[in-house]
Amino acid sequence: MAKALIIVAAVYIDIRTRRSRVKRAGVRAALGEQKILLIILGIVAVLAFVRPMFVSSENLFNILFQVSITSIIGIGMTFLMIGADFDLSVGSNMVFATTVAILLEGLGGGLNLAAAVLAATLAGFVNGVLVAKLKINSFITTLSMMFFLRGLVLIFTNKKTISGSEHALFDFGYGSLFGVVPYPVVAAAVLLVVFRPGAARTVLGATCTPWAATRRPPGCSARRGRPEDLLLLADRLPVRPLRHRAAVPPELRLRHLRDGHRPGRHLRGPAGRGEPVGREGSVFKAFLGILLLGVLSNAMIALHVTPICSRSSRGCC
Amino acid sequence: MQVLTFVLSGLMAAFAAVVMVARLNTASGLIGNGWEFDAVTAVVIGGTSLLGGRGSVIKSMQGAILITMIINAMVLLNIPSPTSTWPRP
Repeated sequence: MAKALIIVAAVYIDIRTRRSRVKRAGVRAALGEQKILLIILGIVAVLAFVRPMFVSSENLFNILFQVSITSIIGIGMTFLMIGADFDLSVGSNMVFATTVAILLEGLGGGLNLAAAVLAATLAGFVNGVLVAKLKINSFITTLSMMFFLRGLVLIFTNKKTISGSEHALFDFGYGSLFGVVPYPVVAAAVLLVVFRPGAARTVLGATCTPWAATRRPPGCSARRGRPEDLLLLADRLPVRPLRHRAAVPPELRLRHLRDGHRPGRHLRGPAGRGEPVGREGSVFKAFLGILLLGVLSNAMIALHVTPICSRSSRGCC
Repeated sequence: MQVLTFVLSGLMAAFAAVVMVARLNTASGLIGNGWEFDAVTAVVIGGTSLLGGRGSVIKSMQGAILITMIINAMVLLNIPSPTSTWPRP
């Protein structure tokens, strides 16, 4: 009887120990997941003590307003970077859309805003086609688009600062929900809420974010950060051409991933045929590129092309 | 799908532009310099891998808050302007 009691007690203690260990591991994992939030809270706590003005509602809403624009741009950038691309033209695209909206203000009825949205989306579409269909590196494409759009803005505005006078938009920009939360912050929050489930539930999210998604794609391991997960992810990334999938032996794909190559797009075939990022380069060819740009600039000056058009066309090149 | 992600990026730039117009109602070739790097920094701080494969929209926003707070705090702490620009890439 005593022995049985001892065994039951031992089992009970063992279960409790395991549970507490699992709990502690869970808390540690949760803290690890939210470390940015913890850093933010730490900064707020320190500054609330050092500079009490920091935690005033005016300052906090000022921070939130500044964050709202970066966050909205960051939504698109997150989706791009999940697919291992990025867009350097977003800032110029934003200014370009702003310029279109102000220049077409006379149309009224929100048509100027629709035109601005269309123009910026079109620029994004052109970027996408150049990267996805013509296989031009996203860095080169979007850098060119950045200069091109900035050149267009300089042409449209004639190198001046232009201003609009739409009061309805001012009401949106300076108004606040229930007199507390500024509308721009509300707009950013709505977009975040709309696109957050998008990262987990759409085809894009389900294929691109097995770690961040609440629903893992079928077949993905429960453990995080294993190369096998990355391998499965590489199979599921939409950017990868299907015809190459069968041609790549799994061990080669795994080796590529362990070597730090980006999953999916660059695992296109056996060694030699694929073109991984960072594998190719030549100082001489870089020099030739610089020479080409120099010659172009010089030619444009010789042809009396205005600096604005010159900048814009160099973006195209 | 890859085209769609670029279209989404353009669409988000347009929404940001609407917010910008509403607030500033001004356009110039000089504004908006460096916004793309702010966005990339926020997304990377938010834990999105530069090699692709993982990321979260909410964490990108947390990254944006962190950068903006650091810059704001430097202003409040009277740190000179050249020094306070270091959090930006």
